[in-house]
Amino acid sequence: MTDRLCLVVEDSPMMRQLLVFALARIKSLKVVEADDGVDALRKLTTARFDLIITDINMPVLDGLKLVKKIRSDEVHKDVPIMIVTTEGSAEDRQRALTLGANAYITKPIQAPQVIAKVKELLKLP
Amino acid sequence: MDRKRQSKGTNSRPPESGVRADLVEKRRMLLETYFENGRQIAGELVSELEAARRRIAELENENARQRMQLKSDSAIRELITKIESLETEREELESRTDAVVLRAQSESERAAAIEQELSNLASLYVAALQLHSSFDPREVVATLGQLLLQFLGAGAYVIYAADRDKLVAVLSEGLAQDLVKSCSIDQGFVGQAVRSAQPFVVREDGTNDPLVVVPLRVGDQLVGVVAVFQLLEQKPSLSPFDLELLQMVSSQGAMALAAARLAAALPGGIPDAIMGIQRT
Repeated sequence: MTDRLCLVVEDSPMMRQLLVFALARIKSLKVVEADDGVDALRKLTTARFDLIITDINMPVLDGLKLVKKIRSDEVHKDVPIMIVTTEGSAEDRQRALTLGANAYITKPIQAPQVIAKVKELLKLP
Repeated sequence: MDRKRQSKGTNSRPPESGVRADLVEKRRMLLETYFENGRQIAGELVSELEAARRRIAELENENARQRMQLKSDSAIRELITKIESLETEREELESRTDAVVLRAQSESERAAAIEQELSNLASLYVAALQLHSSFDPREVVATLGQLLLQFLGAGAYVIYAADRDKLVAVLSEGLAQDLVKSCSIDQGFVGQAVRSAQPFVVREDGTNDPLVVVPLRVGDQLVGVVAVFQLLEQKPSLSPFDLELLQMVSSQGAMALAAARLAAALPGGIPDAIMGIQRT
């Protein structure tokens, strides 16, 4: 199976590391890390990603603005986006999904839940 | 002619001829009766023979039918036996399938439990690793804050640093600034938790006190206190894993903070301290 490429955008090193740990459980998935939205946009120009996982509350460029930018990007406009955030209200969830996010998971995360959602978005067995 | 002759003869001897005629007549009648009876008997015999033949044919038909019936009954019996055997086999297979399904379910649950445990261990490992990744007290406190928010799901908390008999609030989240105050070590619910020998204390009543208080101790020395006032909207209550996490915060958080404070207090920084160790 061809390797899939995932971009993890998270300003908290601790959370980023936990996500990378969880995603390492999925074979054939390679992970690239970004510190914030701006770093993510930079990394999006270097490769074609199959999945983007992003936090919402980040300095400089937050997750929702990042989703908006990705959806207007020619290369990545159809790439599945998963939000992982502490914002748990229904309004926040709706806003993210309306902007074009495909999945919304709240923190604290459970690795099995993240893995299942990633597999679903990438249509992995 | 003979009769005429015989008649003539009888005429010559009338009494004898009359008797003979009678006898002839009687013989004729007797013969006629005899043959008539024989014909009747023969007819009856023929009828009976025909009836017997018909009966034989009927019996042969009946016999054939009975044989067919017997054959059919035997086939049915064989089919019934086969059905019973298949039913038994089906029941055995169903029982085996149920056992396999149960085993698969149990294995699946076990795999899920292992995945969950792995996830919990990864969280503890990452949290401990991050806590010990810096000697800068501000970074350690920030990491503690991230741990409380992202891993525990604490929506409102205060991290205090111990300064002699006082607790100085050094970082807070989700609370109005005027509520975040420094306090005495033996004051209120926080003071009770500090005085207890427990690694953390969870409030069970409905007061405005913190939900959880975690004294950060290295040995007997109090380094700081973590007080969680509220969990995030999506986090209804503390899970068993959260209690493990609080235990880890109590020990590793305390050590990370104490190490960072010591490192910061060293006049020449860490290299001088290490050189000092080498000289001794």
